[in-house]
Amino acid sequence: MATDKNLTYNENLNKKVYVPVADIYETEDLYSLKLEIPGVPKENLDISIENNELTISAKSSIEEKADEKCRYSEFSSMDYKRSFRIGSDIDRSKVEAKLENGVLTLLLHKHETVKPRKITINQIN
Amino acid sequence: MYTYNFFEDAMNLRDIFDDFFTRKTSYEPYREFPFVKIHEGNDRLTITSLMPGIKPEDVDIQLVDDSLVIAGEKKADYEEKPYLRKERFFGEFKKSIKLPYRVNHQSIKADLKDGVLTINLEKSEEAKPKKIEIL
Repeated sequence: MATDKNLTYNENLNKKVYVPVADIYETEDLYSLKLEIPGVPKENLDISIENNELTISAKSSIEEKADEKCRYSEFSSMDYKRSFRIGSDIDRSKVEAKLENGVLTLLLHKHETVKPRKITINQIN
Repeated sequence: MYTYNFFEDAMNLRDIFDDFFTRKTSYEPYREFPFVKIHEGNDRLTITSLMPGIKPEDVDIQLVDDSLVIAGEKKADYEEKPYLRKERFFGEFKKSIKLPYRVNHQSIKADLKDGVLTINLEKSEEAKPKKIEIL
């Protein structure tokens, strides 16, 4: 698991595609990845792993109401997309995702073979 | 023949800078957390604010005079593990939003869902235009 690969911009011209901020932690067994994607319900989230690329794309559910005028705005309706390169140490079949208060947590488990193993010494006596 | 035009290069440089600054992540440092948006409809206001990772009990919304004050704390959810990347912000925040008119104190509704805070406000009776009859 390494750096993020891209900063995508304006895939379709009407809606901006933002790169959500992320935290990544590593333990012996897994990598945990936290992304901030406010305004995205579970159904609008798409997480995929293709080759060595983990892609998270999400569509915002914040809608502009036609009968309301915008008075002041600090953000535009956001779609999110971010990709990460992941190594072969990650077990593709064991990825857990959790969405809570607009924060997506992904747990990427490492393969059993790369986890550190303690070797017990048999005493012969 | 080609005449070197300094301004062409200067404009290119400007484009490079613009490009750099528009390709930003979702957090833009010159705006204070949390980002808000105000929409106005018939005698009502909708304030939308992005606050990922914040629980309803950690937000305090107050109506002070004709301003709405959103304060709270984004509690750190750091994991006790070595990190590879840390981009998220945590800490206390306070933001005051001046409303275009006075609002009805009783009918304020706030809702926090998927990290988006929505506050619905109604124009107060005193702020509504009043027709004055000529006697």
